[in-house]
Amino acid sequence: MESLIDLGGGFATALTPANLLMCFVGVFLGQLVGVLPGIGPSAAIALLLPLTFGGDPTGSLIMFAGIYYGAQYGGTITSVLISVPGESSTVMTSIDGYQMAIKGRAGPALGIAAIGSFIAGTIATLGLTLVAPALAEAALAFGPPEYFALVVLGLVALAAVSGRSVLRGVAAGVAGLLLATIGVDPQSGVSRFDFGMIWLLDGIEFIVLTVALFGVGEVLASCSSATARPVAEVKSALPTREDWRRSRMPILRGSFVGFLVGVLPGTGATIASFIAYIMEKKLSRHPEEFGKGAIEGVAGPEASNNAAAAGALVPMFALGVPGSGTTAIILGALIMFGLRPGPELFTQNSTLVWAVIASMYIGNVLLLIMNLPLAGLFARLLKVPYKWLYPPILAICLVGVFSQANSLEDCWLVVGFGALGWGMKRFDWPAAPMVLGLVLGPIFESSLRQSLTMSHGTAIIFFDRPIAAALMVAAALFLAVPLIAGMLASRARHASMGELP
Amino acid sequence: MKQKILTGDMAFAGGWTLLGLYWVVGSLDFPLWSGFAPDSGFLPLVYGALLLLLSGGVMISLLLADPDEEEREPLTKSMLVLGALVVVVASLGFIGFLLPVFAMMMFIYLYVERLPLLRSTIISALVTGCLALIFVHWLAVPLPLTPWDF
Amino acid sequence: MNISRRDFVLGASASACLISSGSGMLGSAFAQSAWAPTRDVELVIPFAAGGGSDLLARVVGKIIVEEKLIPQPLVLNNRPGGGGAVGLGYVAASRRKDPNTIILINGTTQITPILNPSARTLTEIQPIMNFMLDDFLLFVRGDSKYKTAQEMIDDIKSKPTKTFNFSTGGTTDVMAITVFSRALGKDINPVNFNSGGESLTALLGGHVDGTIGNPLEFMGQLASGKVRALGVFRDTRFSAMPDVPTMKEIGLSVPNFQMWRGIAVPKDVDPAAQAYWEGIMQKVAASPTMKKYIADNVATEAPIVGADFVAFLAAQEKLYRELLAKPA
Repeated sequence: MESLIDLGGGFATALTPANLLMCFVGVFLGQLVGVLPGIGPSAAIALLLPLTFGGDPTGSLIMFAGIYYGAQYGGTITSVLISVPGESSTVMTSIDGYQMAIKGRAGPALGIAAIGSFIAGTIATLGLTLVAPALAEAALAFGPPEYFALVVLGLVALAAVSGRSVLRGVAAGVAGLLLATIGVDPQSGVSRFDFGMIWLLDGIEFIVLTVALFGVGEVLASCSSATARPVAEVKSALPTREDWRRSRMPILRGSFVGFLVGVLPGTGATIASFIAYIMEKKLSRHPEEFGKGAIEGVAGPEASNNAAAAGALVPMFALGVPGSGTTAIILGALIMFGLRPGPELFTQNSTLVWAVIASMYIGNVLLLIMNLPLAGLFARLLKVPYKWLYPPILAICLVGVFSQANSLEDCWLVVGFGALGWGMKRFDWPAAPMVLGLVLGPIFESSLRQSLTMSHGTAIIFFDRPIAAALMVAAALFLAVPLIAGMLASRARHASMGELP
Repeated sequence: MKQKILTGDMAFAGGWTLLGLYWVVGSLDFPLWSGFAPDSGFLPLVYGALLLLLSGGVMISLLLADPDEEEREPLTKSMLVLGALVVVVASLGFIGFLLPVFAMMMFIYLYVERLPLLRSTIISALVTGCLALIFVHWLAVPLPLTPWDF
Repeated sequence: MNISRRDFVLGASASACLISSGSGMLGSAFAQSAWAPTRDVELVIPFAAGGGSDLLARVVGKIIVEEKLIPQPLVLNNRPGGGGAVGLGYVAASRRKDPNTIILINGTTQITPILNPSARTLTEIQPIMNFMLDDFLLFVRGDSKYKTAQEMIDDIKSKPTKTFNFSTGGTTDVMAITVFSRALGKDINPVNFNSGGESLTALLGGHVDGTIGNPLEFMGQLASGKVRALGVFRDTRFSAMPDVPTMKEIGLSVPNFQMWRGIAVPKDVDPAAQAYWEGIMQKVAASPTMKKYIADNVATEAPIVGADFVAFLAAQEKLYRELLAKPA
């Protein structure tokens, strides 16, 4: 229980007025950049870095961590209200959260997201407190073959987010993978499918595609019926007891899965939220409600992305390796402060590490206090008729996407993919698998090529390493069980039909 | 039968097929395999072929399906909004962003939605001002506000 | 400057703040040349916020503002994309004659056009000054059976070619491995990762036999013994690691391989402005903040100015093309 004593010391440091203020500023800024589509926590931290040079490293790190997990709370708000994901990790929330908002249940959706985020953030911080070093060592066992098997599992699950037409869903997923090959191939350095444009060398940014498909696409698809669309009636601002009963388990499951996925270096909050959504849909007794406003589809992913944000700090603190893009920047900040990120951080700079961990408990409470009243407030925004609402949404999408890379070309992409998203809505092609394909594509390709290079060309590497093999078997089961069940069901139907005269 | 081939559904699926075809052809410019592992052309070829097959499958299923009598929403409004977006992005690089964004909102409010002038003006100005304040002023995004900002 | 605005962001924007602290501090750097900035100076960073080169640019910006080196405000502008190609293209195309624009350049911006002919090359801008060289070291995992570089080299030489897997974190690491394996006369099998951090993680997990990388990410690991450094690819040992020999001391004739980082201005800027920026950048390089930054990064200080820098870059270009097997 040594860590609990250390944590006590951490609270003593984190609760000083100066650090408390930094924590508040951090979560507030995080919440703000989370709401704005385009600008994310990594950009915010990088912009703040030079201002904190020469300052107190503890306070600065408390603030950076606050920005990181605060952004996961903020991203939810636009996802639910206007279907524009504020952060890439809140894409899944915009599926069911937005449907809930249309039905006048934006308040409960935002409320359960805030509560779920709080629970998950706290559970994950507890995990960080108690098991960080051991877990970080275990995560190192994940090499390229294991990541490949994990992505295969994710791709098999594509069908689960496909809505009612599986064929189109899988096709859209493949289209996402295909778009992921645009730009410089990180393995060989040559550029592919860039159409001779240097701004495509980095490929299509994930947030550009999501803002376009979900934000602009949704506006284009629904502006025709804007006048006829009834104003959403905001029934209750807070989740009901029934909502809470249905969300309880998804929040817990999302917390654990999100934390574990977050701990793996190279996967982050976005993938964690996908996995949580798919898992909830598979486990649900009424999977047909998913995509039409199931509260589980909000609670699970929201818990998951917050837990993943805390989980990503595990390899950073325990090993000194970045667990995600944002933690890579926080690591850079540590170096700027003259600290050496590495396994000795926990022992040599224990005051700092424990103060940051303690501040995360405090920050999550602050965010809950901030977000619960905001949920009701923001939900009222939907009382504004849609015809007044959608032109500002378009303006925010454009400006937000521009600010992501200061690139006018990205604005063109948003308009182009927005038109595509409109077409996909109109002709019933699901957009979520395409986004999933774009996220998983790069990891899929690099882990495949890394694994085969490591094994000198044999595919046995995916099956003779225990974790990889287990994930591969799980993927096979995922694929086979519904097929077999379907076959059995149809045979039973045939049999019963045969009995009829 | 002929009507079925000419639906938007069919054209949309056809577009995906063409995209798959483009990727298959394009992937042949790159080496498929080198040393122990696939090279740059391999996965684009696989993805392209898969997309070709799957969207082809969608087209066939559309042919075989019963004619869909579902009433589609009219196109006019969406096309107008899309057109407005294209004009806005085209002018962003030349005259800054305040004017195009304000004009887009006014166009949609007044012409597309036929809403009252005064409220439209106030809301458009307010939203544009807030965006300028948050993104350009506070977050220092180098987005030119006006023509004389260049 | 108004207080409420600054309070609100607490610097949610670095540049907004740099503007406010830079304005009004007229004078100071005038004496040395006829030209001085005529409006806001734009420092273009052709990489996303947060990376190593972005940090360097922000340190340069901080020194310029805090030491009041220029009479105008400084604005930082990240133009990320395509390994520096987008930012370079932006300066080459729309800031071609503007002496109030400066841009951060590094080895990556030189390698990108070699691999992708559509990207702009460094000949389209005017290099001003190099600040530092990033070094490369040979690393193995802490519990590796190789205690010295000699043991590893002997083992590599005795096994068939491409038996050894080394992780890499980008094209520059691959080039360093090429340099190393040429000296050995035996190919090493590079497993390519997307960043130095991922490359380190693969080494820590025992998925590869060794790696060649920049020391920055590895320093914390070295201290705890999780990772062992076997050799240095430069002429002198590091003061932070006095026990680690150079490759030449081991007896392997490896040419020096280092990655540079510096500053440039647009191509058609007139000589007076070039001289002005050379003067400013020399002051930046001499600042204790810069020296501390380079030391913290375990890199080599390498102030190379003006025509020398251009000549240095030409030599590097030749070396890179040769290593990547892409002759001009």
